[in-house]
Amino acid sequence: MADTQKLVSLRTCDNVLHKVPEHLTLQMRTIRNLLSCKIFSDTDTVIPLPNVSSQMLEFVIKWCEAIGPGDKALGSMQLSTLLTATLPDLEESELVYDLMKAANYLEIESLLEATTQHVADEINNCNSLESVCELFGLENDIGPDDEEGEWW
Amino acid sequence: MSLLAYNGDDVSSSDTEPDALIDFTAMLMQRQNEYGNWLGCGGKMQNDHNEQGYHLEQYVLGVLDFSSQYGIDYSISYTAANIIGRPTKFPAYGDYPETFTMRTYGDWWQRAPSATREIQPQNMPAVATHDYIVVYFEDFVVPTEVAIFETYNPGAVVRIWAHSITKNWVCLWKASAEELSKSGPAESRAREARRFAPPLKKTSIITKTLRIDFNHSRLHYYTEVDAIMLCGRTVSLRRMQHTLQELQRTGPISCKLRSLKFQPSCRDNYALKLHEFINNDLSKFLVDNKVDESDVASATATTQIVASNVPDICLTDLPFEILLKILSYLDLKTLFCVGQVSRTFYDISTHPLLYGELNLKPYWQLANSELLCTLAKRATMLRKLDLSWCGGFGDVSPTEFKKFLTQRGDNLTHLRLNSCKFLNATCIETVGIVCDNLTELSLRNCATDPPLLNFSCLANLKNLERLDLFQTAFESELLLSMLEGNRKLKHLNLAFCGVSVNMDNVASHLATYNTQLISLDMWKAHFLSARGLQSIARCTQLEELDLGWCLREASLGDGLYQLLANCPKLKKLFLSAVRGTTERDLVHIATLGKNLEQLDLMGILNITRERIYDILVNCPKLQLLDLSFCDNIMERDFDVIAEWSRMFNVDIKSSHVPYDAR
Repeated sequence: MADTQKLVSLRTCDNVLHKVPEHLTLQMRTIRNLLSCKIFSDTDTVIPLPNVSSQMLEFVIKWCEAIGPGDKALGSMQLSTLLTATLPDLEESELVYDLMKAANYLEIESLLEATTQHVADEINNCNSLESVCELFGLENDIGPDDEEGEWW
Repeated sequence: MSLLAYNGDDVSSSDTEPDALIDFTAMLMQRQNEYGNWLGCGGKMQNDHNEQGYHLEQYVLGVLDFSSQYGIDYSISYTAANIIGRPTKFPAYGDYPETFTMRTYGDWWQRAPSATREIQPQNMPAVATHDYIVVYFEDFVVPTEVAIFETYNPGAVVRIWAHSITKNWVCLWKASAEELSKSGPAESRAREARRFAPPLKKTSIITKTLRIDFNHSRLHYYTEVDAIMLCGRTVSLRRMQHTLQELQRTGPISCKLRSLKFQPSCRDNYALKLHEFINNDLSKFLVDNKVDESDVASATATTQIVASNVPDICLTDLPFEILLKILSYLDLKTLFCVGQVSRTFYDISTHPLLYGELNLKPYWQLANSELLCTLAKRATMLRKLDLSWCGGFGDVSPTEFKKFLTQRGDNLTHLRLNSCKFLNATCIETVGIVCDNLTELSLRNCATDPPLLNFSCLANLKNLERLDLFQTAFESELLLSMLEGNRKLKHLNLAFCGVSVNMDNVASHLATYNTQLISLDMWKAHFLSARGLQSIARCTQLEELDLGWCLREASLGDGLYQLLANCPKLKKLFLSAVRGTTERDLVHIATLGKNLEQLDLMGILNITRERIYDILVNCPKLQLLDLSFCDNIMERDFDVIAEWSRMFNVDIKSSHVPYDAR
């Protein structure tokens, strides 16, 4: 079917111009707010996204397509599994964090919930302090001055 | 420290009010004293010559606590007391009143309008506990087997706890989520009694108190337990003495050291011992605990390698609100653990926004006054609090609870204190004074005598929408004044409130002041008559009404008709054992109960096949129909009813006295 759908122009931080169907961008609250202002509603305007890279935007678009516009609010567990399903190369941790930042900047509720739940699950799977430190590359800088004993 | 805190004297000194201790706590204390002073109990059949002890099998001697039971206390049918002693019905299978039965089954209560959501749901374990019972036996043993005799719908036991002589709870067995889901749908399970004795954790604790946890969600109908047997090796006096003395001698540091393999003996002559240790044993100690140079070097090396694998971006580069969102999914225990990772994480994990809701029910065995104290520092924006089941055996002091509430309770909207044994009258008063923003107050299973809820202790609460007093004793005047004061009340549970409350009066108050009521539970209430039923009919928003075992004396008149006519939204109607229900009433149910989803007609003698069919045809939304013990239904009708159950897609319960027992 021929689509008279509007395309929105987005320029990412690496100066690449992306044309994205409007119904997908409506899931991103930041862009939705911008589009609701009359100034941006003609097709010539380009919306700059200085905090988002091309790679991230591609992921985000894939996600928005997977979720679909009219869906009811999915539970965070379902979202998390959807995340690992649609974006399988997300196993490396740094991509998750970049995606999380992009979701935060673009205000995509579902993606933010999915990525944060994913990281929370990773923390839950850790059996000890050391593994948490290892997982996130952190250093334990708490001295023996903890006033709270281990109640568990 | 909680290991040392509790002994008979301390409780009374920490709470100097004249009405400090309620009977129930006194009874618990008495039991505790028995544990502590077993020396004074006079030789309890322990054979001190035999260090090994002998194998002993014992049945329940008494019940300390239970979260719910089907029958009312002074009756012998379906009450917790039936679990005492030898099994009376096992191995027979059936619905017998001489067993212990709980109030709910399946997920029907979660589907009803009065269902609540768990506070801080991420704390809940994979297999949640719905109900529990705490029982004690006569002699201390090291447990080797716990056998639970289930005589009806087995399969609800999910955890077995033992209270050790060192005053901590140990989980001897717990069901895994996979096991539960493997067991298949309820209908396909064999209908036979079961002696359930799962493999216990190997342990050397000494105990004579057990707690059994139940989960009903997969049950087809009520589960019934006939008896519990505790098998184990008896322990000599000397060994018990030794364990208790060690307990008293150690403080928190020694306790921590004990968790390491190395245990210094810190009795006398410390200096000499220390000197010897440093000269002789230190190197071995270090080796045993893997703290030598090469290990340290390799440990740092690994961290460095890992660090180089993790590129530029790291978790701590993320904005604060994202990190907060990540941590908001974690359960309380993990949250505390994560706080130990680094200073940044400590700062984030102690942020008040993560402590807006607190649920200590899944940690009931660990919750104590220190934990409350720690949480009080963090929970400055507390809105919902659930301390159900916590603080038994003196782990939480009333003083600490009151302090916590005074500091953090003024913005509370939801407060659940079900089965909290540490509560006393001043605690309730504090709730009444501090927590005036409460919309939900749940004080289930607080059946002290005299009742804690008296006079005007909760008169200050004016915004309540939900009040749950299941199995709790209260003074009538207090309830009536609360009904007057809380016009927005939507959910009210007065099940098992006892003989001192006149339900007709309550009903007329409801009709005057609480017409927005959505759910009302009056299970086993007293003195409800047709007049009371007519009063209830004035609450036209009613969606759920439980009149089980009420209205025993009277005929309903046209009370039921008025109720059905005036409350078209009614979804759940329980008329268990309401013997005054006539055939005309059943006709009214069929004609007027358009929205009915759950209907309990247990024990109603006037039911005939035709009426059942009418109801099934005319109530399109019906999901549950309980026709148990409707003795008018002939045996041959049950097949037809089973067929209708399939045809109309309604779950029909038809438990009856086993035909061989009639």
